[in-house]
Amino acid sequence: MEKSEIIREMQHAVAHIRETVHEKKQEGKKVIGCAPIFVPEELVIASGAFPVGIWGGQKVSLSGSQEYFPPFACSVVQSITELSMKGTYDDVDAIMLTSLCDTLKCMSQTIQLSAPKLQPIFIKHPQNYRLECAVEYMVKELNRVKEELEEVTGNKITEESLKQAIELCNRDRRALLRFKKLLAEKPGILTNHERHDVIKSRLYMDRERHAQLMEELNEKLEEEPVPAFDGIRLYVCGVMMEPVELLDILDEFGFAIVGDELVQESRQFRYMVPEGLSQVERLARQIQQIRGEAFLYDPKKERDDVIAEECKDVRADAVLFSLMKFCDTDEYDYPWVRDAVQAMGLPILNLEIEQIMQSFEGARTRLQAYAEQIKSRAAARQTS
Amino acid sequence: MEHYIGIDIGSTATKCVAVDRGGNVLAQAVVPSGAGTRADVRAIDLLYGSFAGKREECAGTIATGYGRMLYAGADKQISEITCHAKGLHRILPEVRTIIDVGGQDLKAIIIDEMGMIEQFAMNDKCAAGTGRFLEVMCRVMNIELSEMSEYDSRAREICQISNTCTVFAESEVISKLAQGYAIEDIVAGIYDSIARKISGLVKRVGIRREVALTGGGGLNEGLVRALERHIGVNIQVPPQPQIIGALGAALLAAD
Repeated sequence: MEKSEIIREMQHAVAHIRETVHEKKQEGKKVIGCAPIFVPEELVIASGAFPVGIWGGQKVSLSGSQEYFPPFACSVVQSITELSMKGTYDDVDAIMLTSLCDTLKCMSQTIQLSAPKLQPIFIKHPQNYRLECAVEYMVKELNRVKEELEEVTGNKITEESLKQAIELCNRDRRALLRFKKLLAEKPGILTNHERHDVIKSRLYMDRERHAQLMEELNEKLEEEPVPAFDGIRLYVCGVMMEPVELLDILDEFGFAIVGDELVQESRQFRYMVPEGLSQVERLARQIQQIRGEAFLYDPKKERDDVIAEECKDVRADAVLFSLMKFCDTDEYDYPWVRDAVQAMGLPILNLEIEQIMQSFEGARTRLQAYAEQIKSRAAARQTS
Repeated sequence: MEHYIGIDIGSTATKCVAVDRGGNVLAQAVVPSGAGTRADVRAIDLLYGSFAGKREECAGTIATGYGRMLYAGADKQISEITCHAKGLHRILPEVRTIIDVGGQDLKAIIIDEMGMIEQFAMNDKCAAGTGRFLEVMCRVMNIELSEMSEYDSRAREICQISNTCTVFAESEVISKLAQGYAIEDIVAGIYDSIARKISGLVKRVGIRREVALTGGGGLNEGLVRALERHIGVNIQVPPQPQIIGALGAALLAAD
């Protein structure tokens, strides 16, 4: 397949989620929704069901969700609630939910009222997740989730089927990490919007197909020469870069994303599932490896260190902190991240966004001014 | 005469400046209407009516402001943040913190000794802290915007008004009027409220001396006094604070 065909197939998956879910149902498959932030998709795949990402909707007009949430609640959770009330998830057999932030905690309660037909499967992560006893706890928690999935799908999750699912997801993660690295080596080879679609499509495709397409795409990108690029190498932090108009604005002003730690993107695949005594234990141990995660209890506050290390690795020129409005988790972390980035001599822009935003002029002004600021400084350095 | 034009199409006013190759101001024009009202055409007509330059002698035009992408006559669009930094550095080179209070935007910009931007912050979708806030309050009190500073100078005490939201503040002002508070004291409270909002944004980027106020807000002496109280430093106001963005755009066109 040509590079453009691969990307087109992935973009089609991102743009036609309901059709894909409908097709899966027609094939007799069960469909399990995977809500933010960390859910064990491997268990879903091992059960023979189709995992579908539940990450809200861009530019959704909120009305019903305000029955459950105040206006100052995260727009991702509000749009999931709104869509659940409108029947968008009616084909979904169950939804896996976490309570990794205060608003997600609220949604774990309200979703049973906003979408009574949608069966929730709760996953409660351990607070002190790095302790050995947290693994013991997580094994019990994941075994309960496994039993609930077996009940919904009517299929037994065996050691072998789970092993295969883990290997498949790890294969896809490796391909995504390679893809990220290639884009950092060859900025400008894809648009920021294409990069986002390629990464996001893993949430809406058969994982086997996604891994296969990723590997093919990586081969194509490896073959291509490094494009001429005189823009800005950008590292992006935050929950997500949606609505995608924000990515188009970044493209317009010459930014190329060379790295990210977005919850919806890299934080979904940057840690492999390690080896373990059983397959469930392997899943339980995955979370133990995570370093500097805003949504897990991190007494050492290492997120800023992780970001600084990654910015150095990808040779970022600038950092964008895409702050989801009312995300107190990110608001708490921003000062640490800002200080760490500025200590490296990099500029940082705090851009407040909402998944439901419909007007982009304010964001355009900020991003244009940011590009002008960086380019004029680079020009002055060259002159001196 | 060869010249360069900067046009700043804001939300409530459109400003134009023409400069020569050396950046000397040849003419300027201000039309009290903003983006989407054809004020750009009127402002340019007004500008050419006020100096000897001819349209065909224009060697470059840069548009800035909220309506910059809509102006067909521009060679390039540059953000108002960059243009304000450029324009103010020409007029007041010692300034390091620029506060731009426009019709619906509020910006705090930190620049270095070369006039280059180090940091900036902008208000979100909220009229509190902008010129719109003052306009709404004037309508409630039935006074003109141009009269506010005079009322403020006669105030005996500052009436407390919310700075969270223009709509909430509007109902508070109505309530204070109904309770019989003097308009002078309410005006002082309004300035105090907007100054608290502005200083909050400015403190996000850090205050670095000297500090200047640009945009239409700079025309308001009462606002300058209230801001000085809250920020704790003397605030400089360029002679024509409203045209600083357009001047910066014209200077960038001439560069």
